[in-house]
Amino acid sequence: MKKYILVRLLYMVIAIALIVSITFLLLQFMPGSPFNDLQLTPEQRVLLDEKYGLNDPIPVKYARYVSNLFHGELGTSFIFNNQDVSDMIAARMSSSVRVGLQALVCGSVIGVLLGIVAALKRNSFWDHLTTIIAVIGVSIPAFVIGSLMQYYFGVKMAILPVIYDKGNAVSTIMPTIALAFSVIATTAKYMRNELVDIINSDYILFARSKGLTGSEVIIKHAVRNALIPVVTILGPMTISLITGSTVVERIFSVPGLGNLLVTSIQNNDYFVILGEGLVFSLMFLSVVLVVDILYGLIDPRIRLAGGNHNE
Amino acid sequence: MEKILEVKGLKVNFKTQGGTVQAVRGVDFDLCAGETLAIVGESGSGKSVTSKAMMGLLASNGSIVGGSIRYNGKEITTMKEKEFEHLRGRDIAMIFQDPMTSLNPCMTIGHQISESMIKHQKLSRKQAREQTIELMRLVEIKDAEKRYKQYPHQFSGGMRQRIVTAAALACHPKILICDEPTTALDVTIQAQIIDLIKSLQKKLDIGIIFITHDLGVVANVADRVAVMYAGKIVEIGTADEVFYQPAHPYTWGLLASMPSMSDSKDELWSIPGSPPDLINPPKGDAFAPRNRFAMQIDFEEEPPMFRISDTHSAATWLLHEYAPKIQSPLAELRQRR
Ligand SMILES: Nc1ncnc2c1ncn2[C@@H]1O[C@H](COP(=O)(O)OP(=O)(O)OP(=O)(O)O)[C@@H](O)[C@H]1O
Ligand SMILES: [Mg+2]
Repeated sequence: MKKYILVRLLYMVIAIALIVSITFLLLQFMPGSPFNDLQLTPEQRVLLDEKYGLNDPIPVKYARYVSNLFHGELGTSFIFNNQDVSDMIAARMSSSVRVGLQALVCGSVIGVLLGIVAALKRNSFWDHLTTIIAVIGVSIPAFVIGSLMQYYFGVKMAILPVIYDKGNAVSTIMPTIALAFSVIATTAKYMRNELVDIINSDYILFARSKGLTGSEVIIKHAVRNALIPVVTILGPMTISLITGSTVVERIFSVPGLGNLLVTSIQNNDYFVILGEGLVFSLMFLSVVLVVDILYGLIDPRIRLAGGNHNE
Repeated sequence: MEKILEVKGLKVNFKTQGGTVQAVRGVDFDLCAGETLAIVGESGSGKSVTSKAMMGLLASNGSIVGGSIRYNGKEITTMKEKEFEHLRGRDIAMIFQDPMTSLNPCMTIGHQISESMIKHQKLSRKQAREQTIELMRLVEIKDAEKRYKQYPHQFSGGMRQRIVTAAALACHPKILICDEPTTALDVTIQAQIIDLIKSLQKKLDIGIIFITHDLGVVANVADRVAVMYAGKIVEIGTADEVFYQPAHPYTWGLLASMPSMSDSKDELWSIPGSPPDLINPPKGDAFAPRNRFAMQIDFEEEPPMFRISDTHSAATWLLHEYAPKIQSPLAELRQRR
C-alpha cells in the first residue's frame, strides 16, 4: 500500500510538471500583454515589458519561472500592485472552498437520496423528477441556473441576497445551489442506475429469502454496495465544480479562485493564471488519489487483491 | 407422514409489454417432512417461478392469480408481507442456482450466515458468531474461525455454495427449496454439494424441494419426482415410478434424452420442437404439437390427471381407458443397451 501511494505521488509530480509546462507555453501564444491599459503611453509599455522581462526568449522565461517555483515562489501579479500570487490565492481560497464544499456535500447527499428513491420507486414521480434534474444538471450550465435564481429569488421575490457576502451564510445559498446542480445530477443518476442493478441481483433475492425486511435489505445490502462506485465519480465531480466555480463565482461576486481566474485571464496576468492552474491541478489530483485509496478501503475485493492478505 | 406443504391449483401470471405470461398454470403437489421432491422440466417450464411463489418473492410484475399454498395448514398466498418475513429464512429457506452471485460481495460471509439468526432468533452477536462457526463446520468449511471474517471472493464456487447452504439452514427451516443448486458447479463439486445437502437433510429432518433439469441428479436425491411442462405438472410419482414406469410422453422424451440412455453409437435423443408460448397457451394439451403419440383429442381438450397408483399420476390422454395402448419407447431403448 505504501509503495502504491509513493508511485502515485510520483505520477502526480510528473503530471503537475507537464501541466505547468503546457500552460506556460500556451500562455506565451495568448494575444495581448498585461499592459494593455489605454492610459499607458507606448514608451511606458516598452519600459514595463523590459522591467518584467516580457521580451526575453521563451526558454529563458520558462527557466526563470521554474526556478522560482522550486524556491516556492509563484511570481507576482502584473495588475494588482505586484502582489504575490501565492498570497492572492491564499486569500481567495476560503470562499471558494466553502462554496465548493457546501455544493459537494449538499449535492451528493441530495443526489444519493434522490437516486435511492428513484430506484426504489421506478417510474414514479420521483424517478421522473430525478431524470429531469439529471438532464437539467448536465445540459444547462451553472451560470444559467445561477442567473435565473438571482432573477427570481434575488430580484423578483427578494428572499435571498444576490451578492455573496462572507459574513452572511444566507448569501452562500444561491451560489451553492447553482454549483450543486451538476453534482446532484451526476450522483442521482449514478446512484439510481447502480441501485437498480443491485436490486435485481441474486444476492438481494437471497437476502430477502433469509427473512430480512425490505428496508433492511435495501439499507444493509443494496445502498451500501451502490455507494462504492459512486465514490469514484468524486474525481470528475471536482472538475465540474472547479469549472463551474469560475462562472458562478463571477455572477455572485464571490471573491474566490474561480473569480480570480477569470479576471486574470481577461488581464493577461500570466503568473496568476499559472498559479491558479497549479492549484486546481493539485486539488484535482489529490481528490483522485484520495478516492482511489478510499475505494480500495471500502471495497473488500480491491482491498485484498492489492494487499498482502492472500490465502 | 405429516404434510408440511400443500400446493393446490397454483397459478402465476406476469404482466409484460407483450402480454400476460401464464408462467404457472395450475400446479398441485405436496411435501412431507424430511422427504425430497424433485421438480424437473425444460428451461422455462416454470420451476423457478413456482419456487419463488412459495417464498413470496415473485418479481414485482408477477402475482399469484389462483390456487393456494399451505404451509403446516396455514395459507401463505394471502399472507401480509410482515407475516411472511417471519416465515422466510425461519421455516422456509432457499438456495439459488449461482453461488457466485448469491452472496453479497461486500459483506463478510460470517455476517451473511448469521443474519437470519440475529433476525429470527434474536441472538446476540456473540451467540450468533458461535452458532455460525458451528454451522460452518457442519457444512465442512475448514478454519471456520478464520474464514468467518472473509469475503465471498476469497472462496471457490463450491465453497460459496456451502456458505449459501449454511446461511439458508441457519435457523433450521422445515423446508429447503434448492433451485438448481449445482448447475453452476463442476461435476465433482456437484456431487459433494449433493452429498452435503443429503446428509444435512438427515441430520436436521428437512423437507427438500429440489429443482433441476439434470435427471441424473434426480435419481440420486429424490424420493418423489414431479415433471413440469409449460407451467403444469404433467407427471408425478415416486422416483422409481417415474424412472421405471413413466406414463407421460414428455417424461419418455426427458428420460430418453439422458446421456446414459443412449449408447455411444446413437445420437443423443432430443424432444423435437420447442415449448409453447405462455402468453397464448395452446388449446388442449400444451405438449401435443411435440408429441408423436398425440391423438385428435390432445389438440382439443386438456387431459386431466389420471391416477395410476396411490402415488403416481400423469396428465395424458394415453391413460384414458379408450386410448390405444402404446408401449413406452423407452423399454425398447433400454433393451437395446
Ligand atoms: N419477471 C418475469 N416477467 C415475465 N416473465 C417471466 C418473469 N419471470 C419468469 N417469467 C417467465 O416464466 C416462465 C417460467 O420461468 P422459470 O424461471 O420458472 O423457468 P424455469 O423452469 O425455472 O427455467 P430454467 O430451467 O431456465 O431455470 C418463462 O417463460 C419466463 O420467461
Ligand atoms: Mg429456473
